[in-house]
Formats: sequence, structure tokens, C-alpha cells
Amino acid sequence: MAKKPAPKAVKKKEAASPGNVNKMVVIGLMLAVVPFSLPSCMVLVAGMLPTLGAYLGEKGDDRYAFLCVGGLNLAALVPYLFGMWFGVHSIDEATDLLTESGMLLWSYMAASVGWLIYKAMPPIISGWLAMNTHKRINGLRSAQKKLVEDWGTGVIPHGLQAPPAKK
Amino acid sequence: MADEEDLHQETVTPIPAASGLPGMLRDRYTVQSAHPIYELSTQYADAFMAEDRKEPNRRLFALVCRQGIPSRMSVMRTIKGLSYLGLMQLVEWGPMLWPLAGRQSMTLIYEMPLGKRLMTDLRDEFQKLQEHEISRRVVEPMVAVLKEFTAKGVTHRGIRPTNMFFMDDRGDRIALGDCASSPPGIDQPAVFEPIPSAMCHPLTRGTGTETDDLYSLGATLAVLMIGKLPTAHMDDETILRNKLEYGSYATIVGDNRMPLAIIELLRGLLCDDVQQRWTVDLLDMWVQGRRMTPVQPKREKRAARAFPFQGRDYLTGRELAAAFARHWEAAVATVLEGKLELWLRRAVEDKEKAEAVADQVRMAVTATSEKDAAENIMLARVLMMLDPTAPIRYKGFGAMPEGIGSALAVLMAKQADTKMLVEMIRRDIFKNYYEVQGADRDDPLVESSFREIRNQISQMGLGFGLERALYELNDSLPCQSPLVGEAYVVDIKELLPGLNAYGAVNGDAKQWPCDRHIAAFIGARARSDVDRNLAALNDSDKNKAMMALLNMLAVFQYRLGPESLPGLAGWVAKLASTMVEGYNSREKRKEFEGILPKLAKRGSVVEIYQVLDDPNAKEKDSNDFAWAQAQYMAAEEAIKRIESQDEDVMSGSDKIGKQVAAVTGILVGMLVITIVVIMKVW
Repeated sequence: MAKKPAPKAVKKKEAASPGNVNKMVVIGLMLAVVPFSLPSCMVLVAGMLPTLGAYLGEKGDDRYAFLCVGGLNLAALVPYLFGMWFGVHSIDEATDLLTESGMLLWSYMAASVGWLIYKAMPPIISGWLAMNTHKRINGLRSAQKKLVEDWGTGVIPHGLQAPPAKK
Repeated sequence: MADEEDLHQETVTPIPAASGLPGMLRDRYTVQSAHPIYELSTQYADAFMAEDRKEPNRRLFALVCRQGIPSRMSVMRTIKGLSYLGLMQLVEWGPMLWPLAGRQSMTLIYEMPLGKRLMTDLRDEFQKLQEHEISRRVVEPMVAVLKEFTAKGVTHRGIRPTNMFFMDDRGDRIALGDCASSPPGIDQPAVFEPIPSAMCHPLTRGTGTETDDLYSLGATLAVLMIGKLPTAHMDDETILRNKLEYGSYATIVGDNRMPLAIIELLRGLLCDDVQQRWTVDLLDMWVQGRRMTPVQPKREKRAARAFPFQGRDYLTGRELAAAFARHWEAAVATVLEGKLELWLRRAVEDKEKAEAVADQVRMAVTATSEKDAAENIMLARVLMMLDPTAPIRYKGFGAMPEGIGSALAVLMAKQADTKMLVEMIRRDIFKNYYEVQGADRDDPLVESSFREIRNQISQMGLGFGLERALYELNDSLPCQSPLVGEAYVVDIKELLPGLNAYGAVNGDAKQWPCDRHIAAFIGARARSDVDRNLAALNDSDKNKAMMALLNMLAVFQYRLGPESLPGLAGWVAKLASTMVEGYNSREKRKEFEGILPKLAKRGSVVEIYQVLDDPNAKEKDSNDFAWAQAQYMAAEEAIKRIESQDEDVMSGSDKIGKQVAAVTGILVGMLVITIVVIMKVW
């Protein structure tokens, strides 16, 4: 029996999956930008460290923390970046910003708020959904109770129990 | 046959213990229940002292009829107030609340006789009346009475020495006693009854005609002339046999010598041929002094050869028929053997009758089902052919068709066996009777009513059966239901007030205001056709049956009144409440619960019926209920669906929360960038 040839096409596909391609494109673009915008990159890299931490710290498919943290993190950095772009865009200026505690403080605080939002949102959503479900069930139970009030327990089909009395 | 002892003697069954409370008739006549008069009581009515509140000196007594015995209301209506020397005056009559019975009883107020009965026992001997006395003291007054009776179309049917009274102290005035408190002829011994009537069971003699009264008068006169009853030692069967064999005159008078004028009178009155018997007018002529040739009755053609049966020889069909009736089983066998046909053909030479008998035998022999019944019917028909003047005889029981009703009433009141009467009605014996009687005695009305009764008796539900026959055959019988309480309900318009009085005290949601007697009474007395409603009373659906009853009661209240019947309406409302429970809708029930007590208070059965009679309401209620059930089920399923979805949603809520947080972060970032851009550019 002849030995089956290895599935080369599959290997090629794995190598060129869309996720990997995207990553490589982004990294390539970022690296391409570095020579022209080193001061901005310095600020961004240092300021966005919490976002990078959030991205690397989460496991599994559902990784959303970096988006939440990153959004707010970036929001705190944007005024400084714009200050550089519309002012002095130099490595000194970038170094000054990084050495002054204000920018990093703001950006890291914003990132913390992002984290807080990210941690607080699931229980809030879960509570809201549960409340909504109970509201709908209570509405239906009330309708059943009204039917029993109007027609007596005979209205309850055989095998079912009467709706519980309101506490 | 009825107890002979009872018929010989005017004995009465003991009167219930006196309660002391008097009865009051028409707010005028007080009947003293504590003062019974045993010597004036009859078999079916108890006598008590009575007083007229307007004329306290008037000497009166009351006859209070026993429960369930049909009294002769038409006779009471006719003779009330009649004042004749020869008649004990009926002063007043009507239903009266009688403490001893605990309900209303028919009561007759009569003038009190000052003397005794002519005879208290038919075996007594007494000072016989003379020829001149009998005409003045008995015949003349009786003629006046019988003329009045004949003119008014009623009969007495109780003429006998034991029912005649000396009305004054001196014993001059002799008068006939009561004839209305019990069915006609019921107390008459066979000797005082003409042959056909004597052949009947005493309960089934029927109203009869004036000729029956004249016969009884003739027999009574014979006794008065002789000073005793010559046949007192004989039983009814022997008397009847002698009457058939020797004739009534010879049987009653016997060897006793009579003045010629009296012989003429007695022969005229005791003639066994009804066509030849004296009428009241002929009797009146005799009283006036006109003398006639004594009647010589035509005798039935005698056979050339006797028919031997049960140890005796019979020469006429009439005598043989009577013997057959006495020995029923043996007679069936004899007739089936064809001996009778042969005798009729050869000895009597009546080929037509022989053929008719042969036809009847053939029908009985070829009957495929109920062989016994067919043979009994055959013999009954043969007896009718042999003696067309005789009553119906069935298994030895003799009855006039018009006497069946009173017999049924008495037997039912005594809770005795009614099987024989029911069998006679079921077998349609009466139809055969009228066929044999021919056009002369044919009564299509009675015949058709028996046909209807036969149909009704074969149905066993409420409104039919024996009770229906009871009321159909007894116009004056009050409703026997305990549900009318103490009321005496003879007419349909008296029914609702009776039920109303009972309902006010005893109205119960478990008991309908209708039982077998009330339903049968309604069926017999309602002028409109209620049979469809009566049939509905027996519907297995209780609500339908209830609505049928309510419909009848409402129609009676609407048509006959009274406008307000709070007792009955309250009773009906209680029953209706159980019917209302049949509604599923609580709202509808509340609506009824609110309105029914108001209508009950108003006493309107009509309005209660109108409220309940909504044929679409019940259907709508059922449909709406089914819809509500479906709604309930749908809600239940929705709840289950939500609950099962909820678990999935809750398990994914973490991811949703994270997504929301991510979107929030991005939005905040974009918002800030936008604001900064705007601020820097402008």
C-alpha cells in the first residue's frame, strides 16, 4: 500500500490564516510607522502598557478586556498625542511627557476605570436580564391568576397546579 | 269482592284519636274532632258533630272523607242545598283543614237525622211497613228526589235500607243518606244492585244510570215491605247466581206475599231488562194511582241442551258466562277445547256467535307471544259476547270501564295491589268491551281516553305511569303529593298556592317542587299540552329537566296566578342556585346570586324562569371557558419557555457583559478623540 502524501495544502492554509495575516499586517504597519513617528510611538507604547497587559492577561476566545481598557486608555493619551502633533513632535518632548507623572497617571487611571467597567458590566447585565425574565413570568402568572379568579380552578388544565398566591 | 261483613253492616273503621282541635269549613261550620259520631260514619268517611256559627240551633253533622278516596264533587255541587223530604240535606261541602289528618280533607255538612238508620245491619228484622205507608213515607219522597237527580243528570247509587234515616223523632220522615263522600255504589251490597253492577267489584261499579237507582229503590222497598232482607243469609255469589237463574224479583222477594200493587211496583223496578225497567216517570205515575200490568221480563233464549261446567248445567249464555268468570282457569281450557263453540252452534243454534267464539279461539291458539295473556283476553272477549250487558270480566275481576278510576284511587290509597287494573288497561280490554257493546253503549270519548291512558301507563317516567292514570280517571281526586302540604288541590290553579305554602316552610334545594304525583296531576289537569315538558322532566341532564319544570310552573303562574308566590319562588331560587353552579363563569354566577334572591322575594317564578332561560348563555359560557383554559395553557407554556431560555441567557450573560464593557470602552475612546480633534481643529 502506497503511503498517503502529507496534506500540504492544509499546512499552507494554517500558515496563512486571516488572524495571523491581520496580526502581521498590523505589526508591519506599526513597525513601518516607527521611523517616521518615534516620539508618538514612545508615548503610545509607554501609555498603552495597561492595554497590552489586558490583552496578554486574558485567555480564551472571548477576550474583550483590551478593548474596554484600551478605549479608555487611549482616550486619556489622545490629548497628549494631539498636543505633540500640533505642537512639538520630538523625542525630547516625548521624553518630557513620559517623565512627567501627569500623562502616565491619567492614562493609567483611565485604564483602571476601563478595568472597573469591564469587571462591573457582566453582573449588571446578568441582573438586568434576570429582572426582565421575572417581570415577564410575573405578568403571565398574573394573567393566569385572573383567569382562575374569573373561572375558578376548573380553568387549570388537568395535571397543572394553581398559580402561587401573591406574597 | 269487598268484605261482605262491611257491606252487611254499616260498620266503620276506628276514627283516629281525637285531637280536640276543631275544623272550620268556610268560616261558618265548626266540625268537632273531639266528638265523633260512629253511627253516622261510613266506610270511607268519618262523622263528627258540626255547628253552624250563624244558626247555632241547627242540628248538623259532618262527614270527613278519608285521604285518597275520590269523592263525588259533581254530585255535591248538584245536591247542595236541595231540600227534599226524602233526602238528607247537604248543607255545605268543601275542603277543610282537618286536625286529625294534618291536611285539608273533603268535608260534607249534613242535617242531623234525629232518628236511627232504618237498618243498622242487613241481618236485622224490623216492623215491616204497610202498603199505604210505603207509598206515602218512602216512594213519594224518593220519587221527588230521584226526579230531581234525573233532571240534573246525577245518580245516587247508595239507595239501601242501611243508608236511609228516620229524620224526625216520630220516625215519620225517611230520607236517603250520603251519596257523595265516596265513589258510586262502593258500599252497596250485591242484592241492592242490578245484575251487571252486582257482577262488578264494588270499587268498579261506576256512576251508572237512573235505572240503577230505581233498581236499588225496588230492592229497598221489598226489604221494607218484608221487614227483613230475605237473602241476608246468602253470600253475594249465591245472590247473583239466583238473580241470573230466577230473576231479581224472585231472588229478593222469594216466597213472601205482597199486595198486588206492590208486586206491580217491585216487578217494574226489579226488572232485569234495563229497557223494560220502570223509569222515574212511570214510578211517578204509579204514585199518582195509575196502575199498570206487572212487567214480565223477556228471558234469554234457553239452549236445547245444557252446557255442563264445574258440576252444574247451564242453559243460557249469561249464566254460563257468569260461571266462566267464577272459574277462570277451567273456563279457558273449556273454551280452547272448542266445547263452547259446539254448544252455541248446536244447542243454542246461534251460528254467528259460534263463529265469533271460534275466531277468538283461533287468535288465542295462533298467538306467537304471551300465550297466557292471549288466552285470558280471548276468554274476556268470549264472556262479553255471551253476555253483552255484563261488565268487563277479566280473570274473575268484574269492572265497569267508568268505575276503573275510583277503583284505582281506592286501591292506591290503601296501598293495595293494582296489578289487575293495570293489566286490564294494558291489554286494551276496554276497546273490546265497546266493540262488543255496539253503537248503543259505545262511548268514543271513554274509549279514546283509555287508549291514551294505556300509552301513558306504559311510560314509567315522571308525569306518566299509574299516577297519571289515577288523575286522568278521577277528575275530583285531589293531588296526593305531600309537597302540596295541607292544601286540597283538585284544580291546576290550586297547585301553585299549595306548593307555595309548602315551599315557604319546607322548601329545600335537595327536593324539587315536583314528584310523581305532581307531574301526573299536571299532565292530567293542565289544559294545554304539557307532555313534551313532562318528557323533558325525565331528561338525564338535570338542568334541562329543571328548566322544563320551571317552564311549566312559570306558565301556570303567568296564566292562572297568583302574581306573587314567595314561598315557591324562594324554593325555585334555591334549586336554581344549584343550576347556576353549572356555569363556569364566576361573574355570571355572581350576577345570578345577586338577582335570584330579589326575584324570589318578589315571588315571581316567571321572572326567575326568564332570567335562567337563555339558551345561548350556557353555550357562550362553555365556549368562553374553553377559551380561558386555552389562555391558561398558553401562559403556562410561555412561562416554561421563558424559564428554559433564561438559563441559556444567564449562562451567556457574562459574555454579553464583557461585550457591552468593550463597546463602552471603545465608545468612550472615540468620543474623547472626537472632542479633542474638534477642539484642536477649531
